[in-house]
Amino acid sequence: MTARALRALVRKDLLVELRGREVVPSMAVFVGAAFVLFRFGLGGTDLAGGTRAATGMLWVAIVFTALVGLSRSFAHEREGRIWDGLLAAPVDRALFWAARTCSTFLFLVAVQAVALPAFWLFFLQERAGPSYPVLVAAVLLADVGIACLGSLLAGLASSLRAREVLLPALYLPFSIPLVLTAVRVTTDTIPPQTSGSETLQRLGFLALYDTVFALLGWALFEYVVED
Amino acid sequence: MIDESAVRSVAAVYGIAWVATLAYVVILNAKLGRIERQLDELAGLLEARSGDG
Amino acid sequence: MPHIARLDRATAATLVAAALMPAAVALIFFYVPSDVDQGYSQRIFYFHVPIAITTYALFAWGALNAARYLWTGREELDLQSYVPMHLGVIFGSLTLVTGSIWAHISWGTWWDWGSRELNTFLIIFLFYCAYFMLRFSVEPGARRSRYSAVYALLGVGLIPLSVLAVRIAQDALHPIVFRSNGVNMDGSMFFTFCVALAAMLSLAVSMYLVEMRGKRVDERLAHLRRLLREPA
Repeated sequence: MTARALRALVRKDLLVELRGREVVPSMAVFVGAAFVLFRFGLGGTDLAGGTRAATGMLWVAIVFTALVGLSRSFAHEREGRIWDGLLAAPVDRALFWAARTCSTFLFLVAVQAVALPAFWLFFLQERAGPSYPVLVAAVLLADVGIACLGSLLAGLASSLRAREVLLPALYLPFSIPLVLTAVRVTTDTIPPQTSGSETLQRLGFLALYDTVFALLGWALFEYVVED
Repeated sequence: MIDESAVRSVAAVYGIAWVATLAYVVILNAKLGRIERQLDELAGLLEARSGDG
Repeated sequence: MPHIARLDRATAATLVAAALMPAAVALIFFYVPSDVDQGYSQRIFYFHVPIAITTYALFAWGALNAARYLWTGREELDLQSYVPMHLGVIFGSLTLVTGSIWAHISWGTWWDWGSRELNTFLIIFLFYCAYFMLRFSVEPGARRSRYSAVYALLGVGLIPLSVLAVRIAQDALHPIVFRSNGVNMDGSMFFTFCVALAAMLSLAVSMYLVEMRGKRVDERLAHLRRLLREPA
């Protein structure tokens, strides 16, 4: 029964997005514009700092794009006053968090499917870049962590008036260990270095990060939607 | 290499700052004690008044 | 009278701190021998590390009470969670400041991006600031207490992850700047350190108890005002 409820909720989120087209397109536009800004910020034709700086900026872009997407999370439910109806359902409240985490993850992956090739186009091309399997693995792992914590904090912030300002402030301290490790794991695979046991250790850290915030999100969400 | 006198003054400032903070806390605590006793007095007076009135 | 017990606690704590703090200062300046490598400036270590430890302790206490609040719903636990967090911001800022000063004295730079301790503390400090932003964005009430408690508990996940991440992100070869004493502290240094730690913790405890006392006084005042407004 829980799996069915979860599937239903995720389907609802995806359908709402397909019809409304609010979140994913704006995230895609945002990340594209961010890349252009970064490219010019780092130096038009000659890329100052090289591939390492660019890879670092990629992670910054990923975090901020996720925030753009999360800021509208739960807005639909709050504005349409659907919450009361949903909360009346005889399901564990944490299910709403789980469903939102799944759909957020899917949105992030959808945007990154466009963003990563764009990143290659803007910053890498002929230059030696990070190991692509490692990069993809790191991005997917990071997405899980961002989705888990982001859904919890978005649920919290959505009931407050200052939500657009508050959500980034609440989320960003948590993004620091994530970005710290993700940047390290990707830039260290830029040739001439190659991936090794440290890479696995760092990817392992990302998995640990995901586990911690998945557990915390699952445990704490019900306190966020109590009324 | 390291300016010894500057270090000593920094260390002295630390010591003074901490003792001053401590003094502040002690004084604050004493004032709160006084206020609490006055509140007790007021509460007693109020009870007496509502008892008579 | 019920509040006499509390009067004793706050006063007792301040008395303990009043005894320990000057003792610690005296030990740090007059008793402990100078470090062989770093000289006189190493004495700041006896301030800096206890402040850092106290910050962690305050945070743990605040998070524990946050969990208890969510579990039991008892209102006073909200305040008992908020006050340690707020004291933690103070001690946390002081950790950053003392760390920065020590770095300047020892190495000539105001901030050391290579220092694991400072970087971890920076993340924690940002988290504390966000906690306050959250608290001030919600009107007082059950919702504010719940949201504060949830965020405080998220911090429990953040802190070990930050320590790990900073450790992982740095080169294995980077020298450990602030732990030069480690297990090599001799007897007198260790004793001084313990006294300094006890002094800092007792100061934090007395600040906590005094602040709680102040808040109770506020409540009593408000209560009395309400009573006065009622017709006799």
